[in-house]
Amino acid sequence: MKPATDFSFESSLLDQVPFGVCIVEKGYTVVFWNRILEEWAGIAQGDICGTSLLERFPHLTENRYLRRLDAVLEGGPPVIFSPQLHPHFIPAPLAGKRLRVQQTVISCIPPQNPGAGHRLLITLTDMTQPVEQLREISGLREQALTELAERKRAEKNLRASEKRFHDIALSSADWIWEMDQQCNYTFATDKARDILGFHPEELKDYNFLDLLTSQEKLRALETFMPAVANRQPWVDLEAWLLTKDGRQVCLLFNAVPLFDDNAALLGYRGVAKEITDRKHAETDRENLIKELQEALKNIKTLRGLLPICASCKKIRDDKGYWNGLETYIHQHTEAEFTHGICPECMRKLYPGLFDAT
Amino acid sequence: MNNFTPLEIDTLTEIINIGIGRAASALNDITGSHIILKVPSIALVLLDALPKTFQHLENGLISSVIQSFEGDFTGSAALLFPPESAARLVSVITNEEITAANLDTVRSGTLMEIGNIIINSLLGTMCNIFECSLNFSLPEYRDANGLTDLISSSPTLCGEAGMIMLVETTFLIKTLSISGYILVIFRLESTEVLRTMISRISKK
Repeated sequence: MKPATDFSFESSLLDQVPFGVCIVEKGYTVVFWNRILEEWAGIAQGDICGTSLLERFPHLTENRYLRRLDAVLEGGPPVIFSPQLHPHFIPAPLAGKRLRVQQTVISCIPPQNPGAGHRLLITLTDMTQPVEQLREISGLREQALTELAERKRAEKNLRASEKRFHDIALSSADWIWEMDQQCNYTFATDKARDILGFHPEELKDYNFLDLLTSQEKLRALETFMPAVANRQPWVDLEAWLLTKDGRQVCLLFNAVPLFDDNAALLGYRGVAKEITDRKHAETDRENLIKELQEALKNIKTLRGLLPICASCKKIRDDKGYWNGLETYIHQHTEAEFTHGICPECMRKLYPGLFDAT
Repeated sequence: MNNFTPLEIDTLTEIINIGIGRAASALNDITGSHIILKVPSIALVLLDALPKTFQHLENGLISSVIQSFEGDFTGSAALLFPPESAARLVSVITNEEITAANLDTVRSGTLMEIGNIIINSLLGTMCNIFECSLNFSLPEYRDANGLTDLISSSPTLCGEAGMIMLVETTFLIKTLSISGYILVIFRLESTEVLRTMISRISKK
């Protein structure tokens, strides 16, 4: 076993530096191996000095290392092995099967004596921490970029969705609205102006019940309010509302309840369709039907079997009296009689007159 | 550069091409990818004429690897890239995704190794052919705002500069083509030494 080095003062200094130092001479024989390298590689000075670096670390015989090392050993310029391309020049294990990441600089030490060859000064700086920190930062950056891209995509979708909603709201013949959990209007489309005469912003000062007619307020307590209490949708609920100028309009409400992330009711969003004309038409139709039914009641009709005398043609009524045909029909229908004589009777009764005509 | 004849420039171009070929071979060893380095042109100018001649390098940021040398001739060599090209080059060589337009400490270390390989190959070839010896400093990474800013902020580049050799080079890696520049600045007294050396090998 060879002594660590023949330059004891320099070697004692190099043992104090906070980076790995190795000196090799021609044939890649290790002539110095400092304390840091002992610690990193787990190889004692006495065990490696005098042996071949290439035999100890065979990966250094690959072209990617050896050609450049040879060039320096021949007196060429210093070379750098970066942490990204050559992270483990001298493999130095860490906990968890990791290896220390190194930046390695190889410089040529000119011959000190005539006839002596060049030596290689190999210095290794531990870059594990900066590299791991950068990887961590890079990971965080990637994550942030991914999240940013997702947020941008979501915002784009949201803008598209908002525009779609806005376009639908503008072009819709119905009034789209939102209200809070107390049924105060919080949003209304411009259609509110056409239907109720209120500017959408004005409506924010009103509660749903405020605009109902007094009669409807009572009815709403049985229709709308139970749905709110049970957090259920409004499906085809009708209500008569007062417009800003005091007219009454009938609206058909459909709405869904809105909830926050904790499932608490935020309010309702829905549409209201004006059906005043339809309601008036329905009322008119119902009135007409009533009138017709009344009229029908007043129309007297004869139905069923009538007992009639085969000889005198009198008809027996429900009370058993025999009535003359004219009397019976007059009493049981709206018909009136006018009297005349048919040709046959005319011939029988007034033959002279008949012949003359 | 009036002092250099077209023949001398041709000789230098050939030497540069040999050096660049060696650099490509070394990079191929490291990456396992087929890398081609091309030298479309070289130019020799005086330092004063540099901003006017290479206006396109005056605007915008530059990422560089600088290595100085001294010996039979003295000066500095630098590999220059726009930052986004530097980032792209490092990413393609390390097979990483391009994550940012600029380089962090680790990635600038990678560019430093690439610059070190190219500059060593280039100047090593010159030394071999001219049969001269040079001592090199360790490479350093530097960002600058334009070529003039780079030179003026680097003591190794601006000290008594005489002639500047600007080598345009293109990296062809996989399907990418990344362009950069190699700048070699020779001190005034070295210019004549260089001419003498060119003359000597031309006579051989």
